[in-house]
Amino acid sequence: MNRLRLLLVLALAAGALPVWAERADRDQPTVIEADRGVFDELKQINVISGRVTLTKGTLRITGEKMELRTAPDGFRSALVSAAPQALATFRQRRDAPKPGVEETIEGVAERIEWDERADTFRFVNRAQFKRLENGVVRDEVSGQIISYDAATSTYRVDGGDGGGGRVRAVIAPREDAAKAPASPPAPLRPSAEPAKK
Amino acid sequence: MLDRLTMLIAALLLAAVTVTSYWYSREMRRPVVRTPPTPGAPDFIVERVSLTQFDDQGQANYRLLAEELSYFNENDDVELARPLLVSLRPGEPQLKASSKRARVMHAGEKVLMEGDVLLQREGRTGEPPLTVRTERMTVIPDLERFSSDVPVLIEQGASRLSGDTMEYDNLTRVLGIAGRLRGELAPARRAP
Repeated sequence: MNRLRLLLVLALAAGALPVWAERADRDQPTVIEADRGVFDELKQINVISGRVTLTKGTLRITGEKMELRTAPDGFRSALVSAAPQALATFRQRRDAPKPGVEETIEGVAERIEWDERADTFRFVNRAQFKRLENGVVRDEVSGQIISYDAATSTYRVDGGDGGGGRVRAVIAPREDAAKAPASPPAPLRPSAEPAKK
Repeated sequence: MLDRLTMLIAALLLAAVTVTSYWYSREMRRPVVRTPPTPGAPDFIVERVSLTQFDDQGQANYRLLAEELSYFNENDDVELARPLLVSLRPGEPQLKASSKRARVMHAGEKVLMEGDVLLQREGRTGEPPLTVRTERMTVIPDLERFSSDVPVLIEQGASRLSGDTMEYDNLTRVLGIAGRLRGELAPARRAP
């Protein structure tokens, strides 16, 4: 297959204190709200539709339709899709990396996939992903597919197939300590033309 | 003498006609003796009743217990006070349905339950029991279908689900909820 592929692996926590998706979220119940739902007990597939929201602690995913599955061990996985022309949204607070800093991550895509057991998310089509500190955007990436591993706080951006696939990333410089003054995020240029496989 | 006898006969005839017509007019105005049952009143009432329904093979399908059963001949309906329906299908988790009152229509094809409706299903292996609470529920016993057009609350273990209306098929085990759906699902237990 002659695919153009662009891959970027970013470690948000590189060299710094390990940051985690809010630990307490794990023990929180999953709350779903929507206009209607069909729950298939035998197949363990639940189709929930109409202004869907899923919350679990500080995690919040919204969309138009959600397929929620429960594995025999009780872990869930969700596939949230947006209404036409709209985007599904994701937001989660992370354990504070340092005192006085509230870190949140936000993402949008046509489809958001969530795996509760692995604590991973996948943002598919028109995906955008942001990391904010006290409401200020520090990192921002966009691409066709973004995979986010909340357990290791790493994400991976895929430009997708075809020549139009492009990854754009803006990453704030890491502040080693409080000595470095707050600086605007350094723009990162898109990578050079990827090599053909 | 003959004149007096003729007069007497004429007077007696007149009296007979008067009495007969009076009786006839009274009889016409009197209600019919065979009074039909008052519309809406039961033909008979049975207290503390237990009914069991069997399938073609003689296997008990479900049992119905009630404090009072009233039978209506006019439409073949049965009204129940404090009914409890228990499913007896072997190999299937037991299903119990109770309410303040219920109306069994079309010879048991349809049951309308009202007031404190509680549906309980025993847990399958490793599964907590499931309960459904609502104020009104329609049951099709043969198809094991339960539907509600008023708010419902469904609980299983620490998980709960609520909405404005419900449709549940116990054979396919598919539950549909519409209107203000809210679900609170207990977290999975992670290995420590």
